[in-house]
Parts: sequence; C-alpha cells; structure tokens
Amino acid sequence: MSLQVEKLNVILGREAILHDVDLSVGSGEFISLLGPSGCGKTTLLKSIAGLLEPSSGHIYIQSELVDLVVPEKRGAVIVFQDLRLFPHMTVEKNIGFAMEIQKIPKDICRQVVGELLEEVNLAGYEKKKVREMSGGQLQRVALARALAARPRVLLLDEPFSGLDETLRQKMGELVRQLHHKHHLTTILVTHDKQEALRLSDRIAVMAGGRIRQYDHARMVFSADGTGFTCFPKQLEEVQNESAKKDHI
Amino acid sequence: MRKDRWRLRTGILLMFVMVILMPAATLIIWVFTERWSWPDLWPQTFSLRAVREITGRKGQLISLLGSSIFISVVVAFLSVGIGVMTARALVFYEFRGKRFFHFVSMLPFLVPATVFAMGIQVSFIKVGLNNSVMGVVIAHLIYSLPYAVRLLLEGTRAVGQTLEEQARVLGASSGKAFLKISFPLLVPVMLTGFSMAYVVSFSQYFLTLLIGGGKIKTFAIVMVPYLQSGNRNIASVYGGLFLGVTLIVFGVTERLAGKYSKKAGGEYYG
Repeated sequence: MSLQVEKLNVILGREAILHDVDLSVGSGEFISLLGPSGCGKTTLLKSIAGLLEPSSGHIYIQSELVDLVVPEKRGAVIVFQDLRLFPHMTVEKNIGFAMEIQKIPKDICRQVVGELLEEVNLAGYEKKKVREMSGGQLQRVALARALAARPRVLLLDEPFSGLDETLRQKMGELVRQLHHKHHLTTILVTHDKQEALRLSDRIAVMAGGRIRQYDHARMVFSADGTGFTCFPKQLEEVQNESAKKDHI
Repeated sequence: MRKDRWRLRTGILLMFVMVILMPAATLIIWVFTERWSWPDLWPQTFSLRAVREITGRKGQLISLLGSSIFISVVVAFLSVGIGVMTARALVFYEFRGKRFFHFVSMLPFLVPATVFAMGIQVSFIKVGLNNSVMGVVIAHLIYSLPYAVRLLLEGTRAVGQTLEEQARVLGASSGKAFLKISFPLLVPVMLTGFSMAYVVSFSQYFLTLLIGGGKIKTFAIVMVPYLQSGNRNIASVYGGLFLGVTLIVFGVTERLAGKYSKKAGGEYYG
C-alpha cells in the first residue's frame, strides 16, 4: 500500500509545525523519519493517521485521497511511544480490539490473537493483564494489536525508546521480520541513526518541520557514516541529538 | 518523635469521634428515647413510641422513601450524564468563553441555596415548573451539578484522550472509542459523582420546599418540621433512616467504584 504526502502544512494553536512536507512511500517499503525532538515527526504521523487536521496539503493512501476520511477508516495504525494499551483489558482483548470492532466472530478472533502472539514470541499470554507485563512484552503486545487491525500503513512512533540496547535491536529485527511477513508499508520515527540505517529502505531526515533529505539509507549518511550528505548546518542539531542518544 | 506522632494520631482520631460519631450515636439513642433532659448524660426514659408511630404509617413511609429516592436518583443520573459531557467539553475542546463557561458551571458552589431558591422560584412560576416533580429535579440538578462536574473534570483529565485516539486508529468510531475505552475507565469517578449528587439532592430542604410548594414530599421536607417543633425522637427516626439510605448509597457506589478502579488497573485513581 503506497502513501503519498503532498505539500502538507500543519498549524497547532498558532504555531506552524509542518511546512510543505512532501513524502512518498512505496508499497511494501520501510522508511524511517529521523530528526530531533520537536521537529514534527509525531505530528506528521498523526496527520497521516487522521488524528490531526492539516491546514493545507493532501494525503493519499494507495492513491486514494484520504484528507476527509475519518481515522477509523484510513487504515493507518500508529504504535505510539507510550504504547497506549488499554489498561482494563487483557492481552487478548487488547489485540482483538480491532477485530471486535469489525464484528469478526470470536473463534476467528481468538485464533488470530493466538497466531499474532506466537509471532511476537508471547504465546500463552492471552489472559495476562497489561499491568503484569514487562516493558519489552508490552511493546510486543502493542505491535501485535496494530497488526491485528490489518493496517494499510503501519506507523511506529519511537516504540522502542524505553528499551535497553539489546532489546531494542531484537525488537527492531522483529519489526523488520513482521514488516516482510505481513507485506506492510511502514514508517518508523526514531532518534537513532543506527536504528534507521539498520531497518529502513529509505530515510527521511526532518528538522524544523521540514523534510531536509529523503533518500536511500546509504545515500543519506556520508561515506564514513558519521554525517549527513546534505544540509550539514541545518542538520547539525539532528546529528547532535543522535550522538547524545548513542552516548546514552 | 514517635510519641508525638502517636499523640497527633490519637488527637485526630478523638476529634473524628467527637465530630462525626458522637452526633450519629446521639441520633441513634434519641430514636429509642422518650425523655432526656439536661443535665443528665443518659436518657431518663426509653421507649419505642417514635419507631412504632413511624412504622405504623408504613404506606406513607414507603411512598416518602420512594419519592425521595426517585428524585435523587434521577438528579444523580442527570448530573453524571451532563457532568461527563461538560467535563469533556472543558478538557478536550478549545472554544470562545471557555473560562467563563467553567466559572458558570461552578457558580452554584458560590451562591447560597436560599438566594438561588428565591431567584429560581420566580422563573419557575413563570414557566409553570413550580409545585412539580420536574421543577424540583431541575432545581436539585442545578445545585448538585457542580459537584459532579468538579469530580468528572479531574477524572476526564486523568484518563485523557490518548487511549481514545489509539482506539480510533484501530478502527473505532468516536462514539465506540468513548464507550469501550473512556467510559469503563471513568466508571469509578462517575460512581463517586453519582453518590455526591445523590446526597446533595437527598438533603435539599429549602429548595424542595420553595420549588415543590410543600406538595412534593421528600425526607428532608418531612423531617425538618419535627426537628423545629422539638419532637426529637420522631425527627431522629427520620434522621436515622436518612443516614441509613445515604450510607447504603455511598457504600454501594464506593464498593463498585473500587471494583471498577481495580479492573482498570488502578492506574488512574490510585
């Protein structure tokens, strides 16, 4: 499922957050949005999902104009940084939420939940309560819940930010695996340069509400892998942010 | 240090006993008292006369209980319903005059019941709502709404909109997102708001008297004249029943609220 963003402008309150953002993601492609905090990455994801109303510009999902389509009908599912699992539901209910809304029969629902839990290495966790699980497990549940909704576009808003490096890498691999298995079109928001390089087909570098560079991963970074090939001054802050993250 | 803390704790406990439990105990004793005059610390004569007199009027008592509970339950339901919508409007939306609207919703806290009742009585007479159950319900509602709104504002702020956003991108319409996600998480605070609004309505005397014109009988309306005439044992039987009904409503709602809060992971209300 392809995604096309054209000249997107978003104003929140009186502040312009996104300026003329253009982004094109091919069907089955995995791209990363890389940029410092406050550069508009999450705003862009929320606009694609229909949670924010752009002041101008257009969004197309699979060539269909979705500007006036409500979030529940867009098929763009976000896994947020804070995961947003429903605290009053079990793991099974959380994952099966989208299917319950679509009125899919319960036995099919149960079967799909079981399969998805196996895919995220959490088989047998159906009846667990959300508060009984660890951070890494919760991230897997959030991922399984998003997949259960059969998204046309999967939007990942820094979902691994709270994890240690090893777990972060494992989750990255799992996401990449699921992306291929489910033939997804995926956008990952990250601060982490290495993560973006490892997982993505293409990387969009954002700063100040604009996409400064959008290219194949190897083209975005300079040959030694330490800097960006274009806009070095504007992107200094992006680099600093990544360096800080690496240091941590 | 530890001794000081123990003294403070004991002092607070004694104060609690003096302020709340002593009057309640006195009320219960008065139910079975025929004569208790100063300076005796204990009644001189006990009797079941007051209890017999009121239980003798069983039909009247049941109808009184029924009308009081009916009015208060309707008021409590409406308070919670309107409170939820008001809280969502104030927390999630930006609109012109929002601060003024917030202030107006809290106004009944600031205006004394007597002033409010006299003002609203004139308006109700004009629109034909005086001497009617609906008039009493509306008057009680205006007075109990700020309690429900205040509680629901905090609850709505705590639950937030993020989970509803997640539900929306997973395919739920805005209505379903509210019903399946926010509603169950708001149930504990809604129940607390319900019991507060119920108690405020159940204990309204002046408003009910003025708007109901003496035709709408509630517990408070029947009980107060006995108190004023010095017929303490009859008033105490009514008072005991009043206290019992209120405690049952509080007990049931708090128990349910605790159960729902636990089910929601206890994340929002501790």
